[in-house]
Amino acid sequence: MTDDELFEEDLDVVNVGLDRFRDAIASTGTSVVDVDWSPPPGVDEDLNDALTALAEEGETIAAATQTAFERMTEATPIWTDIGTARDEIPGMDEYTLFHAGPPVTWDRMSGPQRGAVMGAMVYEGWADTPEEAAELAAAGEVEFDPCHDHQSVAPMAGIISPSMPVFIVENETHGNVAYSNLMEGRGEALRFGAYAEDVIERLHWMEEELAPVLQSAVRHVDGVNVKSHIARALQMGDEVHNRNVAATSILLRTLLPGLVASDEPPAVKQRVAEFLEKTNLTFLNAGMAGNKAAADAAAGVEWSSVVTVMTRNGTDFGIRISGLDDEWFTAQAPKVDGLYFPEYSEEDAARDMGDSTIAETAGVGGFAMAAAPAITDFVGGTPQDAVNRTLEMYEITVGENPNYTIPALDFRGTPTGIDMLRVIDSGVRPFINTGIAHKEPGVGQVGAGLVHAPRECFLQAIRSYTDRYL
Amino acid sequence: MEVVTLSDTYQDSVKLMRIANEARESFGVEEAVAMMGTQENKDILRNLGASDGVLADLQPDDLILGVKDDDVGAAREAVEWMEAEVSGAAGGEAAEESTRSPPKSVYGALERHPDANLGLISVPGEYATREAWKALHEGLHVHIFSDNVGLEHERKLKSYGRDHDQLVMGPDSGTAIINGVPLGFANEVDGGAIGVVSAAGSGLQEVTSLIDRAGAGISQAIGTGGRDLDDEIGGIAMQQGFEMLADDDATEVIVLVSKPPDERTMDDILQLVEDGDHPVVVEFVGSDPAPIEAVGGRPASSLADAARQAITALPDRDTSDVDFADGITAFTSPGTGEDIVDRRDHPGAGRRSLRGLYSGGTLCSEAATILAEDVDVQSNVGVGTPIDDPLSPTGHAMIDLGADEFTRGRPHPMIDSSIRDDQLRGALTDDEVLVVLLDVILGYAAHEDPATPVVDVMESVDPGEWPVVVASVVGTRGDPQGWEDQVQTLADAGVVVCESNADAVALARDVQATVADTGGGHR
Repeated sequence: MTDDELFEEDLDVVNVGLDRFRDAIASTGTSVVDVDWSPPPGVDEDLNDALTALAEEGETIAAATQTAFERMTEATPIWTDIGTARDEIPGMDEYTLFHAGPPVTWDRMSGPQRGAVMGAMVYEGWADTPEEAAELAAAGEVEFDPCHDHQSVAPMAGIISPSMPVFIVENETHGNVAYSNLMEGRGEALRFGAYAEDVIERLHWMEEELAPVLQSAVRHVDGVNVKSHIARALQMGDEVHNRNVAATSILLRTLLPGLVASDEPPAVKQRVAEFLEKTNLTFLNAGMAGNKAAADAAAGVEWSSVVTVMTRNGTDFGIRISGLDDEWFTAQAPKVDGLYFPEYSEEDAARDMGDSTIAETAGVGGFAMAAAPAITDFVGGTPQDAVNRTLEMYEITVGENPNYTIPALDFRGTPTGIDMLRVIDSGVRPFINTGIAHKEPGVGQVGAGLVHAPRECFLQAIRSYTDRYL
Repeated sequence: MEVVTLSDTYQDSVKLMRIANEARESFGVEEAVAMMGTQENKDILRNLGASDGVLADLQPDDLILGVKDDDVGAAREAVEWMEAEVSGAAGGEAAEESTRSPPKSVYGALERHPDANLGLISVPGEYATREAWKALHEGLHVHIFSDNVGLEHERKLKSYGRDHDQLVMGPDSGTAIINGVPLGFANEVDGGAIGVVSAAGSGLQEVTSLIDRAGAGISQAIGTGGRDLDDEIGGIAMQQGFEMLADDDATEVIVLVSKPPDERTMDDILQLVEDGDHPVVVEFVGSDPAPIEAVGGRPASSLADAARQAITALPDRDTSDVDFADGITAFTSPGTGEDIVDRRDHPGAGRRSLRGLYSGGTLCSEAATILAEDVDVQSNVGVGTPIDDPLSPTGHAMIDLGADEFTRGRPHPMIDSSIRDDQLRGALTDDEVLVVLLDVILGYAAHEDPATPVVDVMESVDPGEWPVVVASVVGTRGDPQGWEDQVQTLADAGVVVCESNADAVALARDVQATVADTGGGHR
């Protein structure tokens, strides 16, 4: 638009401020949209001045965020293989455990994450009992590191130990690789902090039977395109965070020739098939690794204010920003607003936990809520409520994902690439779908629900950003 | 345990969890479950005390609703409620709550209106620059109503706008009319061939309203904000606006309105006037007409004169008669100063002061400028002697009650008249005040009936006594408040209503001079 065109056009006004001006414009029959503006909370005078200075640099920032967005959406994650964590993931040493969320020490670790650590140590044979494991962990005998520092993601407690089988997902476009552990299935599980004997036994079974079958299957089908599976699942009612029924179903169909062709004994394949048949969330971990590969591709862009990591460990919620290297910005992990399984209530719930928010980081999960009308009871009950959740996220994202589209929105792309500057100024916080773990170790999942990323993380990040770029 | 089994009924587990939670909360029962009949769920039911008989036949495709409570009646009730919920669709109540929330940012607004072309920004000054940058970077023209924006920010915003062919009106631009649309405080004016660029909000309103009332019309009225013609800004918006009007086929005559520009900026503006092909009427309130004439411009002696000259400069205009009363027959001629003095008892020796209580800053400047030619006048608008305490004036005092100092944290007197009501009340009982001068500003976004607060204050005094109240009403027949009605309301209460602010000031001065001539020479 140029200034000599202005007088030739019908005005269409964005009103930011006084309602009476909106009313005046509307009364003349002119198109006007009113911004429900309020001062950004938690922004003091100095930060406000800094935000104004950044606004002046809006074109530089917009170009950088666009670059990050394009890298994120042009990434093509392919699940190529199953391997063992110690052989595959850089930095996975003996007596090392990767965990979900930002860095945390044993003394600050949440109940379910401690439980998962204890279970993983028993599984690895580093301790004979969970109690002994807790003592060793408290004594500093185990190294803890965030999954995210090692190209990895894992749901809930998110413990990856050296012997665990992992999804290997390669981003064909940019060449980076991401990893995730395998889904344990329903009920008591390590990821919810359960460490009973059958939980450990299942981990061994996954290593001994599930992983080899999946490995031969994925090799047989020459890899699985994670991106296209997510895209198809969104058309089938999944948002691929809390709901993965469709994604898992098409994944199994994709794998079917490979599963049948596998050289593993029929009895093993039978057990694997039975396990996969009842494990709706099988795709979750593969999808997470795919989204991690996409988000990592967007990291490290100078000036980019795009969020490349959002994650929690039941203690802290942490984010990383594309233009701020590997710096963590953390706040207390929030409580989840959830629905609970029988016999449980909010009092039993751990705080928000898991790397699975990589879904929302990459433009699915809560951001694709409109694709998943079946789970709208989380957000108010009607499909329109779900649509509104997704629509709200366009406010804080760089663009619309060209790969991931939503039928209910006329196949509009999902809101993708959270821009922290937009989060700060609009007061709109990223919306996350999530499971809920019991707050005590050893119990497991007690419900599921939704949560908003804490604003404090973004306020910290913006301060670091202004220090660096202004 | 009360259990209902619905065979071959599937519901998503999330919905079932919600129903069970609601049943627990609404009925206060010990436990409520709603789940599919899988093996795992059977175990849960068994733990809760479901009978083996119920569990034995359960298939994975069956939906189980179960409630455990000592009160069997309550359990029964809860189960029945759950059964109704499972089969029922979402109710109308939920559907009503589903409307989308309004946008929280410029980006959210643009997501809904991707073809938006102008941002109107009126948030507090410390946030306005940021919102303006966002709008500019998204390709919008902007009109910034907000004040308290730093000069440096203003210069950068306007420079960016100039370099990108985007118009930046303001900051502190009270009004504009673009393509006939009121932005901020603006009047309903007819379309026409006169284009206005004004650094003065109420000046723009006065000029455009007078043009409308005289039967001519406005092509565009561009507000620049009050500091645009300071050398720190250099008249970027006025120059850009001038060029836009010069390129606009609908515009035949251009009017420029401002306080006197700084020197360098004045030269730049005069250069534009000289280079342009259009008749240009210039009202830089109180500035020397000679340099304007020297470049072929038409200097005006007041805002009303600017309107008059603009109309007579129109190419198809065949008469120089200009009637600002819009042919309204009810309009009472205010008469002369002598008429007003003759109708009243002599005010006595101590009553000589002129008191201007303005809501429009430019109207106040105009009043002070006209009066300063032959009386000692104080004001808070930089004309005459600066006034110490604007809210306790003595002598001839012209007060802008819309000045920043009075609007921080409270509404402008054009919206909420209470500060002026108080000052008017004080002036009416002040025995040194001879004439009270008022502006009554109509238009979009202004007070819905600004004449009435004036009339309410005047009810307590005798309109046949001193001081006399002289006012002009800035507005048009088409304004939401209706110019004719407002004039009538004031006139009925004894206010002497003039066609323009300049006329009102001249009349006030005439009254003062008449009294001075007849009763001792207080100046």
